[in-house]
Amino acid sequence: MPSVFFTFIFLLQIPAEKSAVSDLNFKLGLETYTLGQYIAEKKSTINIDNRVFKSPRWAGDLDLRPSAKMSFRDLKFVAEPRFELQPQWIPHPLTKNEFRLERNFSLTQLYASCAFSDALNFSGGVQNFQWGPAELMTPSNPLIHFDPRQKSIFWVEKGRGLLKINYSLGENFSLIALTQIFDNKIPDWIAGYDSKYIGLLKIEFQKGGSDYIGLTGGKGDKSRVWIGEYASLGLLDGLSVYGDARHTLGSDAFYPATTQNGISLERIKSESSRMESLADLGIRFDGRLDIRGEFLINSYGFTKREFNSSLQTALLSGSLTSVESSRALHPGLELPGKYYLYQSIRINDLGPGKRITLLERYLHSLMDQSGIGFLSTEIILNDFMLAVAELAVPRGESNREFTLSEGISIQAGFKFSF
Amino acid sequence: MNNFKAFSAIAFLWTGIITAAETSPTELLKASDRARGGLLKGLEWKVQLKTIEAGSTTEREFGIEAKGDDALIEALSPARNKGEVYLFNDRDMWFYKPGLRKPISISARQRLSGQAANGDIASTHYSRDYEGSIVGKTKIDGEPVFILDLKAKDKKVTYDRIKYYISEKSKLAMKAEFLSLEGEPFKVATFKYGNSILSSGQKIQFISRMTITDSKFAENISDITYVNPKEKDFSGSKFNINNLAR
Repeated sequence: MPSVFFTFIFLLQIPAEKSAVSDLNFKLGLETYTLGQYIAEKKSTINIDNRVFKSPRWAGDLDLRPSAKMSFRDLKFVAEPRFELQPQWIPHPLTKNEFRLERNFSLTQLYASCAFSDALNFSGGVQNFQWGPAELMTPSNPLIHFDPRQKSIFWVEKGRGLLKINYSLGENFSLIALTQIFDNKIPDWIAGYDSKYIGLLKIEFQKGGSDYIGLTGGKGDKSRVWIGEYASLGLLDGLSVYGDARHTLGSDAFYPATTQNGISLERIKSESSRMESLADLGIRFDGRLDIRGEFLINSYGFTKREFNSSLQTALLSGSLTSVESSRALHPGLELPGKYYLYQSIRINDLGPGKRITLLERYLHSLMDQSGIGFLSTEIILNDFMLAVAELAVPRGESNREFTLSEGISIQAGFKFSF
Repeated sequence: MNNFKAFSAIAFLWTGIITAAETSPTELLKASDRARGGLLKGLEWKVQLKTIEAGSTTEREFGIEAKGDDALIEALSPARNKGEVYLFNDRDMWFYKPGLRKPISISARQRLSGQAANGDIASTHYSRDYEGSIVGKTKIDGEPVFILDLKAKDKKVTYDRIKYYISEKSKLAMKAEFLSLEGEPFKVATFKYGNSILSSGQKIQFISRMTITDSKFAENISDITYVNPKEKDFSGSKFNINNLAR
């Protein structure tokens, strides 16, 4: 009986707290991509007759990205699931062609956050937390690894299961402690040796939008201690230089090694105490055009000989599911080579009614002089509909880094927003 | 009679000069900023931006939360822009939209829509961002106004130089001419103050409309309507880039 009384009293209080109701915000959204894709056949010795990669020639994609955000004062909930339906037609010249229907459900984000004070913010759940000035990759953030598919404008990074505390003094200083408590079903980056649990500390100091510096450090349950840093410096109006790097003593990656059974992929640098580094250095001009040039130095990477040996090992194993193939495909390297060049140009407000956005990007491997270029466009059709298209063109001789499995591909369709 | 007119004109001029000499440009800018969102306390409002350019009309809507020197702006419509977020930290600006991996720094000078630059829709802090000097007096709609010459303290602000007209009586900005490096106006903005907010028990007039017109092509107009401004208390950590809503 007392509980009924107190419930009644509580309910009576609700109308009195009128401002509490007005502080409740709820936002729903839905982005939908409907795309068709053609991928040209690419002849390579590793994928003869499409036996290894089983790449589709034609594919469709229905990609639903709903979002829900609820906030109440300094408390916020975010949910962003993703549903994909992909019909694929896969040619097999020697056997029967295959039609496949891929269905995927994933969580891009699902988290809650709360500001305890002006200085202290806590968030927990599946979050896509990224930082740094570089466009190609963020070495100082080992939670997120480079994925070849991220080069597409249709790519969405899946969040990781994180607990994050941010202590900030104004907008200029942040000290962040975070723990990855689950990996949200991300495929292995180092075959069989991925860390599920990672602890990370990040300190960031900002002097302005283009002037900031950050330090990171941490360790995973299966990975070694790393330290990282990133910085950006504005030189002139719209012109800035930046860098982002990670360093470890030794490397967790798999490298070709000669054993009694021939060449196999082993973690031969795991005991090394030599400093290894991955650094992305860049320059950006941000004005009417957004232009970037980046140079990637990857001391973890393969030499050309190691790259070829790694391929041979995967090839000889005969199956993509073998241990050797798995190590060759997921060696624990952001990119396999030691040096890369990257550039991008974004042009907004083109064409009649300033409705067209154009994005051009090119990534070039200095290891074997192969590369891949992307030309993407978005055209505003009306308030809720965009036409989207992306052309990807690999260049270089056969069996090079960017010509192993990828032929020219074109993806086009519509994006609907509600 | 002619002597009387001459005497009156001289008296008016001297009154203006004396009043101007007694009025600090910084105080005028601070007072006018208050009515354009430049308050220390937390504020929220909505902005409806209607752009007419080359005969076509576009409309956008934003939700704005501001506190002190910071502002967080979220695109509410049209649907294709929903979820885009602009974060102002002092004079610096970040942009994030769904699909981007991380926020990128952008310039407040970049075009948002039509005549409106990114920096036009946030709260105004001209007293912080510009060196002002009173260069004269005139009348707008019969109301005496000070003419201020504003020069940017920093390259990151939205405009290099502004000719700013502030009402002598209400201390509200009535008009702004945004000047090119050569000193020629390339855009002109006018302001209306049909809104009011309660701040610490005090009623403050608040901007309700800003109309920006292209100086060369008068048919190119951006009309910004400010809706439902109110004081709101929220945490300062909302404006930290590491907590930006993703």
